[in-house]
Amino acid sequence: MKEKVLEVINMIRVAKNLPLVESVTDNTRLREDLDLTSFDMAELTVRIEDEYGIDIFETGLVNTIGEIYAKLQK
Amino acid sequence: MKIIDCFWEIANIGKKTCEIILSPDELIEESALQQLCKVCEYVVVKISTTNMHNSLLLGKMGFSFAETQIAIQKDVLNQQEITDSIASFYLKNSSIERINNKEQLMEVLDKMSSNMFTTDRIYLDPYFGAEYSLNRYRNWMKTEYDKDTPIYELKYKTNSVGFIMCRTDGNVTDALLGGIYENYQNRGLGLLLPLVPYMMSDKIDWYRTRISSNNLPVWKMYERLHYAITNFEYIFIKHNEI
Repeated sequence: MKEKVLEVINMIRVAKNLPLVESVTDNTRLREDLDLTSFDMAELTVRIEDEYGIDIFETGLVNTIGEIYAKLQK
Repeated sequence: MKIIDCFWEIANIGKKTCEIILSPDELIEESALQQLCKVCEYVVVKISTTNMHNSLLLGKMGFSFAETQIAIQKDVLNQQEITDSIASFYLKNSSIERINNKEQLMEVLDKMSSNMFTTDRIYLDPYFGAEYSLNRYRNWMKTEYDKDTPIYELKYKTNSVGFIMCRTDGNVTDALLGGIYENYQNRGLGLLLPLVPYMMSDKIDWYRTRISSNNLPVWKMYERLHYAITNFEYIFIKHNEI
C-alpha cells in the first residue's frame, strides 16, 4: 500500500515536471514537502479512491503521508 | 468616467465608497477624481491594463494597486464534454441544489466563514480585513436573493461543500460569487466551481466569471477546465480621511 501511495504521488509530480520522490515518511507533508496544489489534492483523492475505494478526505483533512496511510488501514 | 455611488458599502464596510470605471482609451479626469477623494472614504478605480497614463496618474494621486481582475468564459454549448478524467470524476459525484427559502439561505450564510475569501481585496486590506469581507459577501447574497438571483449549494457526494451565486441573462450565465466551505477546503474541491455550468439543469451557452489575480489556486482550476481569458482589468484603491 505504501508503494502504491508513493507511485500515485510520483505520477502527479511527474505530470508537473517535478522530480521523482524516492521515499516518504509518515511526517512528509503533502503541500509543503511534496508541492501538491489544490488540483493535485483532487487528483490524489481520485487516484486513491480508484485503487482502494476509500475517499481519504471523507472524514476530515489529510495533511501528511502518515494520515493517508491511517485512512487506508482503517 | 463612470462614477458609481456604492451606498450599500456603508452597511458592508462602514465607509462612504465610490467606484470609477473607465473605458480602455478614456483618461481620468484628475480634478473630478480629486473632488471625489474629498467626499469618499474609499475610492475604487477600474482601468484597462493598457492605459499606462491612468496607472501613472493614479499612483501619483496616492492610489494603490490592489489586484487584476481576470474575466474568463467558457463556451459550454460547444464544449459539452469534460475530457479531463479527474474533473469527470468530480462531476459525476457532484450536483447543485437551488436555495429556495430564507431558512436555507441563512444556513448557507452561517456556513460561510471569512477563511473562504482570503484572496478578496477587502479581506487583504489592513483597513478592513476578514470580518468586513465576510459581512460584505453575506449582505450581497441577501440582496441578490431578494432580487431572485439564483443561489445554489454545491454538493459533493452526500455533503454540502460550498455555494455558487449566478445570474443568467439570455444565453449567458455569470457566476457572481462562489466558494468552498472552510471544512471542505484544502482538498481540491475548488474544482467544482468551474464545473458548475455542467451541473445546471437549464442549458446554457456561455458561462462567465471573474477571478482575482490574488487567487492563483482557483485560477488554475478554471485553466485546467479550458476557460478562456477575455479581459484583464487593474483595480486601484485609495483610503481617504474625510
